[in-house]
Amino acid sequence: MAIEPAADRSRDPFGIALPFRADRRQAVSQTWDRDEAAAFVEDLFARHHAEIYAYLLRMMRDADLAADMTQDAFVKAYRNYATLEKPENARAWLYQIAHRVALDEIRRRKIIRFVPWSGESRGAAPSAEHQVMDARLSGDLQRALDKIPERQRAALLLAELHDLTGLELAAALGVSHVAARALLTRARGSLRQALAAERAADLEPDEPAGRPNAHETHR
Amino acid sequence: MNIVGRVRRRRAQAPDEHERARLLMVERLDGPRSGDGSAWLDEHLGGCPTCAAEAAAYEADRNALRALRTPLPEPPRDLWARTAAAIEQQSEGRRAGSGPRRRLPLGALSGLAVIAVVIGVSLLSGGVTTSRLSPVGTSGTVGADTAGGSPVPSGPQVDATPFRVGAGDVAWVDEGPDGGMNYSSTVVDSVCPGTGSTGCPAVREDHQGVLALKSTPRTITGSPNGRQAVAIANVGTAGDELLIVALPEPSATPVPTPPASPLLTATPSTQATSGAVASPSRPTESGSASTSPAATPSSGVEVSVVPSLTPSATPAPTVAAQLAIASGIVVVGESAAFSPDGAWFAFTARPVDGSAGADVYVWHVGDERAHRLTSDGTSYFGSWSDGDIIASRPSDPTARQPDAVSVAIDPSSGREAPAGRMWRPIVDPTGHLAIGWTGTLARNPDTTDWAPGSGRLELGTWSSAGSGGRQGSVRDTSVADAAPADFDVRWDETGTWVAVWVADQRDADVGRLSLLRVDTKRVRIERVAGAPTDVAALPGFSIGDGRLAWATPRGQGGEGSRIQIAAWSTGGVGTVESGPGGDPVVIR
Repeated sequence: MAIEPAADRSRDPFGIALPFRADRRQAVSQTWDRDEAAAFVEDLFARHHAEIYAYLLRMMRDADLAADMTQDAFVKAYRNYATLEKPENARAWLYQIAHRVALDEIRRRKIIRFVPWSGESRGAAPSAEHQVMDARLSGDLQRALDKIPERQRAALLLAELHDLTGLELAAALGVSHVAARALLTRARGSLRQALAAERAADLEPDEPAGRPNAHETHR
Repeated sequence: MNIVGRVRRRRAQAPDEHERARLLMVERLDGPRSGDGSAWLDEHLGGCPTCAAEAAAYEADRNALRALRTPLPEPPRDLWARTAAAIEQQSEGRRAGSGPRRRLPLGALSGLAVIAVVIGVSLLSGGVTTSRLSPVGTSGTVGADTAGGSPVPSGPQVDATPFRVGAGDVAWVDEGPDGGMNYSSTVVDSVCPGTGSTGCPAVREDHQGVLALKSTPRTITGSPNGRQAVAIANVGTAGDELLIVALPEPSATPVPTPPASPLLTATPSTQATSGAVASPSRPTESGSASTSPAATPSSGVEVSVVPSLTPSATPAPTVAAQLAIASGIVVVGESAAFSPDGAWFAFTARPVDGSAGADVYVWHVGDERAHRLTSDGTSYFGSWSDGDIIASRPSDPTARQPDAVSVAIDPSSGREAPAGRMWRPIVDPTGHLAIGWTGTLARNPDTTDWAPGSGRLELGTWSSAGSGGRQGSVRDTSVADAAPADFDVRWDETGTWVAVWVADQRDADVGRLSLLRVDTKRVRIERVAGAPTDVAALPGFSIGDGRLAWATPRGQGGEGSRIQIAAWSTGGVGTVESGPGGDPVVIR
């Protein structure tokens, strides 16, 4: 039932288009096969929608928002199908789209950090899985992740939780391989510092008056 | 290096060396460093406990991050439906006014216009029935709910975007005031995601006609060529009667049929056929070519067939032909099936007079009568596999709880070959997997028929030598653990979806139906969110072309049965249903 990406699609043997260019997209949009694109995206969805949703949920901390953004990512994948030059790079290409969707949303909302998990979503109550994940994320690590820049956070999530290789990470982040690696290095450093700060705060016997309770803030 | 040396070395290190070490230790987490950098770092860490501790901390951070991999959050089950609808919208917007329109979901639902034909028999009065399928959830409580089964919808009522499904007709028959059966078909072109959705548009009705059957069928099994069916009707004390009826082609596009009197013979067709039995991967079954009905046209029984109906809002007189191929028997179980090439029809039956036990019967399309293929009185038809009938019987009929043995029987010669020890294996279209009962058998005290005893209904691998066992854990392969009074398993044409109906122990006229996906590589059963699971269903269902159709039992309040249809794609399962009607019977 799953549709394999058409093996005979005549694509020039270049890598992933980095980044998307409006002129290129516009140029190819006149020629791509919509049915082929739709079938391809359907297959892509079957293979990767769960991890894309997970990535966006981890980035945005809002289940309904993550679902909307996942949908948006796949619609964008359909529209930008022609920018994928090698089907074998589809996963990283999809992550690139999802990453841009996330950054756009963050920018739109002027959110620089994680949206704190409030335990509520716009629709149904959070699932047990979400609650479990939230509980596991609600400690020092979550607060530390909250405090590092979103691009660094994205790099960490993609590398450690989503198993993107160096090249895939670069593609997803829309930067060069060297830049991606540097970003990941900075991210690890930022996380280390943030974690150290969180743990130091935990050791404080008393919270200073007026200081927000980080535990509650993020629950 | 001794302690003094380390201290001296550390004192000699400039602060930027620790920073360099920090960078290197972090970079090394993302892949090995080459050459001097790695060696230098190792040496540095060996002489700098602080840096070594920091390296360990980075490693711990990474492990903590990786611990967050699970559990993977589950996306909403209607996510594909929403996405497909959004893509469809994009597609429509871009191609407005140009080119043919593609329907979503894509892929499997857009293949051949294979038809899942559902025939219902209702007691609605009036002329031709104009039942319309409506989205699940918009027509109130499902009749199945009150029959002890899980209602469909079973989930919370949510507003969800309906999504389109590939062109496929659904047809049914309602008993009319004149005793004939009104034949209707409709196109189900959109369904609601999962179950329990609202806001879906009603499906469009295509055409209607009249199918004259003299008696109300208990079950109807469609031929792969889609032009005839075998109806099993109970005729009281005389037992069951098998009738061959011609069907109009339930197509949205009218295809003129010559006003002739064609023979009711098998006409292996290269056209799209019923997905319930068509096997794209093996279109031609061995053993059938030499006995092709086309080679023996003279044995056909001539019957009158009225010219086909035309799609119209006005009911048109339609096909009205029937031919009895078997009588004086009692059909046993729900496993009757055409061979994939449509040349044969096999079923289990026993004489109504009780003179013998159950045997496998077979009808060669074009012959006047079906004939008994086995004679031991303990043989039960399972399924077709590679042109052979796979039948099962108890290993020792005198035992109280015997094991099962299966045989592959050539329908032409009756020659048998061993085929494993699974009871009534239903082999998938590719011939690699089968679902059947593994365990002991027991006699039904009421009918004396053999039925599952202790064991489980499960998925296993299949080869020409029979069931080769299962792979994976029992949990992944088990379809049902409790012994059913009867079961009916049907694969779709892809061999990746299978519907399993299990009869209720107390009342075999109702049962529970589940739609399962099969991981063919790992030989595992996958339960798909939103797919019908253990929903109350009457015997007889149709699966193929990306949809499953079944009928629900009547409701306690006198509400009629409904025909329900689940359609799926890789992204989700949607459902629609009819309004309450009579007692639908689904063509398999």
